[in-house]
Amino acid sequence: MKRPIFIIIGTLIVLLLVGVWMYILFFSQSSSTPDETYADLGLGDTTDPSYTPPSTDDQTNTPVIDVASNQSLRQLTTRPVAGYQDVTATTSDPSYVYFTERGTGHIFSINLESGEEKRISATTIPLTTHSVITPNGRYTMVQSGSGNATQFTLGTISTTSDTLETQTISESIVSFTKTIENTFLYAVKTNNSVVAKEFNPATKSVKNLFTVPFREAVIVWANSAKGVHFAYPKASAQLEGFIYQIKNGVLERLPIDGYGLSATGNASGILYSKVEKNEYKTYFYNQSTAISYPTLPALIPEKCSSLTEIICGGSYTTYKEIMPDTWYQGAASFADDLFITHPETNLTEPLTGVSKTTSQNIDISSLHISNDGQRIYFINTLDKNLWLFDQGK
Amino acid sequence: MRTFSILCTLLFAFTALPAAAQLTSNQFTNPEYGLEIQPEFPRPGETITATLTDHRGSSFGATVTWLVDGKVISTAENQRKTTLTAGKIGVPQTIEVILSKSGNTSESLKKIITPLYVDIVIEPQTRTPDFYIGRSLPSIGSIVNATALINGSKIPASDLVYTWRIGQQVIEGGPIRGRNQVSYTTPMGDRETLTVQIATTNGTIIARRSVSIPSVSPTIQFYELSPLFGLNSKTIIDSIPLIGNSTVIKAEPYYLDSRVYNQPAISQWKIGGITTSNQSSNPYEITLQRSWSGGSTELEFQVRDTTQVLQGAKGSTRINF
Repeated sequence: MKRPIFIIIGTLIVLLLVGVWMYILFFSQSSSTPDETYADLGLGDTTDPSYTPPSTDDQTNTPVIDVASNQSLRQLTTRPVAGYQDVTATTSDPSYVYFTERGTGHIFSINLESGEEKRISATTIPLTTHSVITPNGRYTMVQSGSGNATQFTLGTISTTSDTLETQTISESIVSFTKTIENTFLYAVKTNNSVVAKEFNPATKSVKNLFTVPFREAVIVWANSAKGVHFAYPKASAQLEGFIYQIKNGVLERLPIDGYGLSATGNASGILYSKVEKNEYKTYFYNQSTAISYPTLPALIPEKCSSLTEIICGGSYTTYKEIMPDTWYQGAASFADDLFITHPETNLTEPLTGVSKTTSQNIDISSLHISNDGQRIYFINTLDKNLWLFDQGK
Repeated sequence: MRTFSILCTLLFAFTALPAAAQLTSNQFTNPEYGLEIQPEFPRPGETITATLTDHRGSSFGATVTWLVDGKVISTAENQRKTTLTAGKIGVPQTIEVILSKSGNTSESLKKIITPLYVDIVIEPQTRTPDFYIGRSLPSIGSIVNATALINGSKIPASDLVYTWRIGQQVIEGGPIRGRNQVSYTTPMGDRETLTVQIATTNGTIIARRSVSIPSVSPTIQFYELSPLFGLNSKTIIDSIPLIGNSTVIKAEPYYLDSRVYNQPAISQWKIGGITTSNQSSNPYEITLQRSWSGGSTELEFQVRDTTQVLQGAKGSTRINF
């Protein structure tokens, strides 16, 4: 072929392509369903203009709270709570609940009759994650920070000012609580054990209570140093656990074991859950008969507290997740109601429909029963707000 | 010829020893006859199966009577096997079987069991976040501490001799007195059996327990980190909306060897598939700043050891902004 003909054909092809390109550019209509034209190969980043940012309207996120309302179930705080205490009141005084704000460590009191909220400590303890307050409202123990920067602070709540008198605790604490005698119980990790101690903040005296002969221990504290405590290895669905009862400093192995085992209870009975044939199941072990009774629904013992009866947050959910690990990780949450287990009858029954009544998903944790058994407090894990279910109303 | 005779003599002499050993334990000279208990070391309240093993036929035509602590089990009369429940913790229980033959002759076999609890507490030295209240799991190459707790024995734990095995390998080279805690490195494979055998100082085995230990792959979960409140304990499941101008995300590698977590050979963040230089002093945290509005991008993190390449994890989530 001659060279000029070759050049002419080439030029015509180029002009044709330019023409097609111009036509597509100016006259074609874009496809309304691009996904049908181009396959999503999932290569790296995509910019999705159809995304609608979530609403940040505070009015829709923050519920209106009326603490002094006559409703039996009510939200007490809109601040995230690190810990709280139903403060012992005399017959003439109104009932108060003290709570520590998560993050700041500030302590507030709420008058449960008038609904008045008052800051009683303005001393900031940064990154406060967990706290307990003695029932007389005089002392507090606060955990703050994380990892190697975790700190434990002992605070004395002033009745005359909003300043917290603080003192740092140097021990490596793994668990702590308060007692009805206004002392603190805490556990310290050693090389091969966990040692439980009682600290009296009034006299500053420390007393060893018992030793758990392994390190990865969970201690279910009694409400008094002299009470019956329980200890078990931290739960995992893939590892076996065993429960030890501790009376007067002596450990006694109970006939309760299993995978994913965790428990709560008192001298009358123990509510425990474990994985059996890939199913998460709950039992109530009656201490007087030494018999375990199956319980429905399956409950997570970390959502429970006991006085005489055992009260738990839970739902009739069939757990599809690996329990309890997934809940511990924060990868699963539940819409809980309250259930009560009676040691006399070994039966569990619904107490009140928390999530149903409020039409909110309330994932109950840190449940606590007041000493008279009337008020049940709990924290919603999802937003860390404090709630109250008053059985007297 | 002389040499051949010596060799033959030696050969017969050496082969005679194992043959004699075979004969001494052989059923032809000493037939199997005994009482077998399963499980060998029962827990309190556990169901026990007691079996009469008699291959010499001496029980032929005999009346078989089973007794527990001297009391006859009426339902087990003339049975070669019976089931019973182990007694209370630390209380010895005598299981006896009597073979009564015609002519008022009888033979009796007896075994004493003491129900004990032997618990093995597994404490893997792998990473979980501070707020995680569960136990971590072993991953390949990680250290596991195991503690044997014996309940019901009157002998102090320090006077007992412990023999630990992981798979077929004896830990610490052999039995050690008072050593109820050991450490071992998680071997290859999804599961391994850890066994502890506990004996008295005179060699009597009083308990044995085996547990199957899993070995899992480390995984990554993402959490939002607030400068005021700390780590949010709820995972970012599929995606997280970037509502403000910036947010801090923390990657938490579950079950990663603690040594690797503290000194990771590789820790890498990718945004939209592009490796990013992390400005944070903590390699597990990244601060994301909004650079334009409307969109979604993938956030990826991986941590890995270079010597044990299976000791690592990779995870991703999406950021909507």
